Amino acid sequence: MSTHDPQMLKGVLGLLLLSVLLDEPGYGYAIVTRLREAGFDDLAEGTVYPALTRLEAAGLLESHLERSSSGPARKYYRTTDAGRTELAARTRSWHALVTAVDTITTRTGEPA
Amino acid sequence: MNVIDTLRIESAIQRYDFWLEMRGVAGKRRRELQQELRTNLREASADVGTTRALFGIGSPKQLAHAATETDPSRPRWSQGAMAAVLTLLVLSTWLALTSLTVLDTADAAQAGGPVSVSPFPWFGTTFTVESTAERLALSVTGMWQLVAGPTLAFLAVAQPWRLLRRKGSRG
Repeated sequence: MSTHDPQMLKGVLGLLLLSVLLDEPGYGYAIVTRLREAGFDDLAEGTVYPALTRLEAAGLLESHLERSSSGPARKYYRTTDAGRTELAARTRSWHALVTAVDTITTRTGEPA
Repeated sequence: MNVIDTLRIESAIQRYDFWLEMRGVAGKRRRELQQELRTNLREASADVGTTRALFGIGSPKQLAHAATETDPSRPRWSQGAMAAVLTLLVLSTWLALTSLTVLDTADAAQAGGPVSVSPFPWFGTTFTVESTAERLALSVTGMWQLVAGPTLAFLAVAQPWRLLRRKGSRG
């Protein structure tokens, strides 16, 4: 099981959510499951659900209700056009950060 | 899902709803957020069990706070109402203690006929005591503080002018 720094994860959560909801809509718990399957095993629902609400309030996600055979209607989210633009900007920032961090860490190398 | 698990989930949802209410979230929006959490908790409970599902969402208070942190400018009606009730209780107790003090003082001084006083801080409120051998009576008039105090407490805590700010930011 991999572990991630919670603060670091919080910083990129918006990027991850906009990305996973780009082509395939998803509802709260299914999104958590999707991210866990992608390697974020320690991601808590209590972090993801409010982030979805905030991204929707910011107009980066849109939602609709769909009836479920197993219980009450699910709220499905999908990335909006504004979300796509934001995703592109965040992805560029992320790659720039990774490049800069790589530059430093490859110079210092692994500790003995 | 068994009854115990349903009750545990509903208990978490009610606590979530309470803290959403404390954050000033309107009723319709609260019901939407409640319903969404209920669906997610049931899905998670069916997948990993209720204990793990509830552990995953953490504290309902923090969840409510995190879900509404981008929109903190709503009036806090419930907190305002609680502050008003608390203020009314404090002022009523204070008024009762002041009344007893005035009554005891007049009785000890054997003031006789009706005596009227307005002790600090009950400006505008008149305590009238009649203390004779046959009769000991007290009347209090003009208790405007019992209305003004809770009203001010309500306005200060609820901050209804936040509605104007929200309308302004939308327009």
